[in-house]
Amino acid sequence: MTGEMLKQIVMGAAGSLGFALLFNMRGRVLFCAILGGALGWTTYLLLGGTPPDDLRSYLFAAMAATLYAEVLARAFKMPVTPLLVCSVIPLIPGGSLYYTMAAYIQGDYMDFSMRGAYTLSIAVMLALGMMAVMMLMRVYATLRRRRHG
Amino acid sequence: MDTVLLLQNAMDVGEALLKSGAEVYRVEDSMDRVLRAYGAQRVDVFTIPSLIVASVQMAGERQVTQTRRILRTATDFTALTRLNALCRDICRETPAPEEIGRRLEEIVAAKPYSRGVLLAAYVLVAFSFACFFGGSWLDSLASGAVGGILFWVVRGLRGLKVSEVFALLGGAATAAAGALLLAGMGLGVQLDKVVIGNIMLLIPGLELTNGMRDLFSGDVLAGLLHIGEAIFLAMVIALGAAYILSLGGVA
Repeated sequence: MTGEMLKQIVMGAAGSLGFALLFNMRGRVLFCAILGGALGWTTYLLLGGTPPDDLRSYLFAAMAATLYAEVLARAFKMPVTPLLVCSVIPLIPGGSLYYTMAAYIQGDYMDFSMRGAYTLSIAVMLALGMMAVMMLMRVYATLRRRRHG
Repeated sequence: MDTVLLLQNAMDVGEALLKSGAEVYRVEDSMDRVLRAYGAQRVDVFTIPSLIVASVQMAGERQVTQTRRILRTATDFTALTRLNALCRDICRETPAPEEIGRRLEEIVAAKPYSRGVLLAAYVLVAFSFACFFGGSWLDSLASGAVGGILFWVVRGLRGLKVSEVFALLGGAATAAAGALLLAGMGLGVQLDKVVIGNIMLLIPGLELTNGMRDLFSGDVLAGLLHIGEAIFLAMVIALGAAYILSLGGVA
């Protein structure tokens, strides 16, 4: 873990905190939102890969963040959305989106299409990761209910 | 029991849920459970992000229908969590409809964070994401300063009751203009990092997440509406920023 990585994790978590405040989260949930943001980006960093060959890392990071949000939400008896949204915020490809736009206004359509495809791929990975975990959790909950009920 | 009053209170709960940031399936499911807890024979709830329609039929009564048009949402996850718990309590205790209204009032009336905290949150997000995406400390400070301005601009535009699209367009344009200004002062501020830090503030992450969850729950219409909205808003943000940046000669 290098200093640069640590800086990114802290800053990603700070971004999650900012959003949690904007969404009026309080108390232990606020604290968990910060941890969730750190968890998602730490997972990404540990899996490695440099853009644009880091899509797999985004997928697993999204899965880790979603699992975290789902498990905590069940423990706290609250909806998943608050913790999920805050935990995936550092994974949102804001930088990539900007460079896509910049390539477009500079008229570099080659670069635009490459960066655009990459940005879109990250979004698809995040969606896939979130959905995979949601589905597993739902199947697990149904099976458990069936066994106990 | 007065069915009209009961449905009205259930609608109030559904409306509050949707406005605070609940997924569409949660709104439909919660209202369905609440109404059935009071012995409704038939419940039909249909929700999209901008509308709730619900019909309820009690044994031996005529069907009652009400609709709500949802114009403005204000994400509030504390309210969402408390509303979710309220629905569970209602189903267990089935209090009188007036009591539902009273408890709902309590949740809705809870004070949000003060203006100062929200301003600080804008600055914090803009600062930390500029740094996160590889900006220097100077870039991050510049981004935080623009984030502070963005707070007032977005707040002002929302106060003027313009549409959310226009508020975000204005926000993105402000972020780009602020970044151009600070980057042009010759202090060594990097334009891209400042814009990115502030774009992160505007990105419709909640719509995207909820849209995905609705799609997955089988609520395809609501999911597509949310995701379509999120993609459209992201394009509006990119456009607003791109327009100002090209005016500023970045092209």
